[in-house]
Amino acid sequence: MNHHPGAWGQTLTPHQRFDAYSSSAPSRYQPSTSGSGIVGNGNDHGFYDAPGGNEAVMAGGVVGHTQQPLVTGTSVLGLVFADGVMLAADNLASYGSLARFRDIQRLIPLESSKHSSSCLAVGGDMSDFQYLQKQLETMIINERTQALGDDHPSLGPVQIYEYLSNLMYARRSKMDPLWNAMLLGGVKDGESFLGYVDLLGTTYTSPTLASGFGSHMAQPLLREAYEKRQAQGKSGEREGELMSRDEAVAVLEDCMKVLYYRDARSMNKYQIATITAQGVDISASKSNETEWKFAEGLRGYGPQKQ
Amino acid sequence: MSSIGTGYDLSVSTYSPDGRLFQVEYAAKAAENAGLAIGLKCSDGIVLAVEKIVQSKLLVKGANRRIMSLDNHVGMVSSGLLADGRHLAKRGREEAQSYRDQYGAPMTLKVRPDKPASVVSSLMAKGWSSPCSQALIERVAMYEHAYTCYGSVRPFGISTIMAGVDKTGPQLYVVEPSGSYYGYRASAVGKGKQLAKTELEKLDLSNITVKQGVMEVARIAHLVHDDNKDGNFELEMTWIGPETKGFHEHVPSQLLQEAEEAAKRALEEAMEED
Amino acid sequence: MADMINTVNMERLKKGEVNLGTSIMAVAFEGGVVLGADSRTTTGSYIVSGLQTYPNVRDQAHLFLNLCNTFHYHAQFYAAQHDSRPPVHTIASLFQSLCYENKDRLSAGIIVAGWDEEQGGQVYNIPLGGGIFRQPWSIGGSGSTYVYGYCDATYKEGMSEDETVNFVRNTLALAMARDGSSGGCIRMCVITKGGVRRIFVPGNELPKFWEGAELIETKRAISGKPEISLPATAGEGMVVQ
Repeated sequence: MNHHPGAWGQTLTPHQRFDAYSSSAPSRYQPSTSGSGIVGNGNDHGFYDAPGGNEAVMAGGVVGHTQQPLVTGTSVLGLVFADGVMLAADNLASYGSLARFRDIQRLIPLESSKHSSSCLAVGGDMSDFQYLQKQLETMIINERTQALGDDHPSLGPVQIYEYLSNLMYARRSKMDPLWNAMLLGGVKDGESFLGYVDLLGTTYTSPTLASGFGSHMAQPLLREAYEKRQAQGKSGEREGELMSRDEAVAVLEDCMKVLYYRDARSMNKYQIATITAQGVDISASKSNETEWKFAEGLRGYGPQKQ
Repeated sequence: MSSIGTGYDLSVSTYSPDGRLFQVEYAAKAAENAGLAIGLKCSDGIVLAVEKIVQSKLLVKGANRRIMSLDNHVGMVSSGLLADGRHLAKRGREEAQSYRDQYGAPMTLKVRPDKPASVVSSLMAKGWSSPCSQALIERVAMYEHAYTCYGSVRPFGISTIMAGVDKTGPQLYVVEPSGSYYGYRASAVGKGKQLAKTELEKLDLSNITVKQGVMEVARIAHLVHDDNKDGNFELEMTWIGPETKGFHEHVPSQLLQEAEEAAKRALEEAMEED
Repeated sequence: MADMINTVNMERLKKGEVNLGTSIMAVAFEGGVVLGADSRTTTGSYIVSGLQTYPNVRDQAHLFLNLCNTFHYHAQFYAAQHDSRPPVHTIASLFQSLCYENKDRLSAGIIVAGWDEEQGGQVYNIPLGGGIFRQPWSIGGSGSTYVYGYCDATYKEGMSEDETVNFVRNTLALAMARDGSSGGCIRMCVITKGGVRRIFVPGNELPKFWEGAELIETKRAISGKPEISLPATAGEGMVVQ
């Protein structure tokens, strides 16, 4: 939102109306200007006025839905390794470009029993993430209480993933998506599982996954490491085809470092979840050593004397 | 039952001239004659157990579990009509879940275990006509009570032990078919409950841990059970304690086996002494 | 417990006028919390203490009042059903559900702070969108964006009650000095086991910080041209954003 007096009363595009710094008015329900009001419901209180543009109206008979994400987390990473799955996410929840909450855990352990364990890494809108967390908790408690009562089959990562996919797709079909992209990692009876779901209900699985910025910058690095290890395994130089725990951590750390350098909504403070048959272990927050010496020698554009 | 057949026992909505509700009393009889269930409140958690008479050799061993969970931190076991117990557990789960939805926190069993009687009085003072506190045990008991108020329904034929560990610590209650409930340090319902209670009274209930509790409960269950009269039985046991991180879970089969073996040995030794 | 809401009276806004903000803050210390707000009247500020409510600003949006009434009802209902006051977390999560479920309609950034037996002093931030975040200190409103750095640099764990009050007073004064939409006086309240203590700082007694150098008069030569000439193009030492 442009706070300059000259901008007052001007028609704004939805994009202009978004004010990342304002904690008092979501842009889409700010009073419309005379030029943008479309659905005339006869009141000039502003509150119920059509915000204009492509957005729906509360009182005009049309249901108000889709928002933009407000408090957001950036990319999350996932990787299958020899003993299970690892997930990584930093601890930041941004508010526009403001690094607003810097101690947020975006990895949530979902269930762990002697048969299976799973964990979720979430990016995107944090309020939707918290809603999702509650929904999952409800489902898991429900399943757990019933599993104790009788020989009810217990949940595994595949079942939770299916539930998540259905939930996300159902919400996008109502034109009211949960604004998230997430990775679900788990192990059940020795089988590793890693899957991606996002706000559109799009799903895919792969031994290496990343969301958001990470899908551009980290996924190639993860894939390279994964495939290199597989090739080595096949040629018999090393036993097993998957990365060891240490190798997996090293690749993830490397990816988090690259993302920290290049993603302006990231933070150099992150956690890694290790999901194995033994359960879900979420590391303490850690940081990577960064290297900025190269910057000293850089000379920018334009005339430079030194 | 001196008044049987006087015609006042046909409906739960009719009192007898001496002020009794016979259907509720009969329901309690149904609960008394079923397999024994034991609940124990320990210093660090709770233990629940039930004696399951083996009805048929065709049943799979360990199947048809009887102890149920209402939430992560609350378990319940009832003695009496099985289906009534399951129905009550379902209701309890719904209550616990709706509390979580509303307040974002797990439900406690009792609102103020330290101040038992104050809830009703404070509600009355505030002008509430129907005092029902947001406590799981109260909610479940009120539900059972409703089934003693209408001619079209029959009361629950179960006595229920409900136990859990919440923010106020370990809690244990027994709900009767009438809808009344009491808190206990330990209790037993079903066949042989008197003997079981006598044994429970001998325990050092303020200091016992769940691990010791498992051993004691197994011993009492084996002591009370009469092989000659009731045939074989399976012992099912759950607990909440440090080992389960606050979750209501089955006692690991190895520990349960140890406890049962110790119980049998103790019984044999006692027999030899006699 | 108490909570502060920063919102705006939508009905009094001119068409197209932007939201005029405020500055609010809450900080937890051992044994309680300190809440504070500026007093600009285009905003609403509402403090709920225990089960008594004190509206302390003239205008409130009807929706915001609805929210408070709803909350008040919930809190009383809870107290009746539990025979004890709701813990701070419970109030915060009630607010959070209201904000999340009505995210299309609500425009309130909320800080819920208070003290209870279970967890002591607590501060919960419920920003736009309806998420909930527990923080040791929290700031909100349009003025808050100017003072994040000050808070990061000043806040220390284990501050005493007096230190915390000073921290809130200074932060709000700085926010009010830089944010045109904040200003006036500072109202604070300290919530501890003992109850609520209110502190008022009048606008002429605000703590003072650097307010700019002495006025630099533009000296003009007789010709009328400025003495200092600006470079025509971006030259050395200029940072281009």
